[in-house]
Amino acid sequence: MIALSRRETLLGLAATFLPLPVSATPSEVAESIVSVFGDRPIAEGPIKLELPALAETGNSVPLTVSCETQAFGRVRRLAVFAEMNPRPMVCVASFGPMAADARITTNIRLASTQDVVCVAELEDGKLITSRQSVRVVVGACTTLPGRY
Amino acid sequence: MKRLALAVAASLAAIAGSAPAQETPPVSGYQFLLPETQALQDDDFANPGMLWVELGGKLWDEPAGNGTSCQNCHGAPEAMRGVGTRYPQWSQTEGRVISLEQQVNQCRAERQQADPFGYSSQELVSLSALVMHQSRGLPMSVATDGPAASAYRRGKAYYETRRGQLNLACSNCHVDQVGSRLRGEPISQGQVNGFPIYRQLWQDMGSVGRMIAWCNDAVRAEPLAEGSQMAVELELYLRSLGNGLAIETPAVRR
Amino acid sequence: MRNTRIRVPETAAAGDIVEIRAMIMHPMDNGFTYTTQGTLIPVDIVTDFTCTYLDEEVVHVRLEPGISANPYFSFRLRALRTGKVEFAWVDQHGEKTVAEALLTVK
Repeated sequence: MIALSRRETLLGLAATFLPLPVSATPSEVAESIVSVFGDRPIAEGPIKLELPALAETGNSVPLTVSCETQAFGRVRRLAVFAEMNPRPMVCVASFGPMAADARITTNIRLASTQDVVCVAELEDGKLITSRQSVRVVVGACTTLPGRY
Repeated sequence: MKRLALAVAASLAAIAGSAPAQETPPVSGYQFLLPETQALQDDDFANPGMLWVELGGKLWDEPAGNGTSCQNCHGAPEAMRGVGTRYPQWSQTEGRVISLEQQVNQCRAERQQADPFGYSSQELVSLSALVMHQSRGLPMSVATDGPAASAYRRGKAYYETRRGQLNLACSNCHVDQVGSRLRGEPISQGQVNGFPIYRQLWQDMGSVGRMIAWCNDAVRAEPLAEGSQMAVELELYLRSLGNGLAIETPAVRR
Repeated sequence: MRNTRIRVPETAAAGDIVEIRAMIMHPMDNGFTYTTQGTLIPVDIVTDFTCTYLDEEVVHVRLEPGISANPYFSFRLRALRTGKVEFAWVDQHGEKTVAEALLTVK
């Protein structure tokens, strides 16, 4: 039989009952950005992220992302990442020839208070990024299991 | 927040200005939400509950059992305006108080000769949402006298009885602590005028029965089964607390 | 075919920017929730949403579990001439749900 110290036993117990780690590391966020756009330089840019300052439920947070197209030419893709979610990538929207502008509204899940990051790919292949912080009262992944 | 403060202030003013015996006027759970959630409920397209209302509309026209549909007897769903305000109500044929969901199932069994839907099934909550939605804006008005009086009393007793490992009665929070916060969330009066609701926590539609079971679980009590007689009688009491509040189905809640 | 809701204005003038809205009934199980019996519900999501107008793409969205249940999208297209606005959702099992509406351009 393996002898366990009190500390190891307690850590083991904690690991049994605590939920799995529910936030990505900064390197995982960077990796998922690379998985979408490849390893390219990213500059700060005028992407507008409309999010409530305080979200009462992380299960559904209204989000509108838009990127002014006049100054930058067409926007090919907009990708949204939530830095503290267990899986940081939220969605990738690509805009076809019939889109009036690079703008999309949806509802996203947020695990906790965090920054939401958007990366836009312009027609010439340049990447720009912007971020917006949101305070979340009750996270999407850490709430009581949805029994009943 | 401002609206909540106003609502609570209005309630307090009403208490101060009235006879001591008078109860706090009912305030819809809507007033305890942040503006983004209120906006989602108010938007008839983006409100996810409308998906269930629409599904209910399809089921309404769908023949079942002996080939009849809801529409054959009742006509268009719009004809049900006002019906939802009265449930749960006394049923002469059943000899007890029944919920709207049970009334739908009774129709299915007797008039359509079809198998009843499960109480927590998507079909039943959709039909119930459809019928309640027709009464949106009308004041809730359940009867608590006559044959329903004893059910009302049992519901009230349940509401005021402490239970579960946390030893809390519904009234400990939803009467005594309205407007206080439970961690980050404001405590509402627990009004059910918006049910069936689209609940963000569930990411799904649920009836009053589902909410009662959830609340039981939250105070670590044995959950009342959805559709059990005690749950229906508790629903009657909950609805009576909100008599006069406008129906909001499908409401969106946290 | 899952239950969907779409909103496309019935008419528009040529050159108008019109708002399109679309929603599908789907739980978007994110792999972090449990059944009443305590078993983990595996990831089950819609992975792709596409909207086309006059057979050309308006928007395509790749969805991840970070999108809320009953995914909702709203975006804008420029009306050119009368034609169909078509919507398609594909879930992770490859099941496709479609919807369409006619946009009349005057």
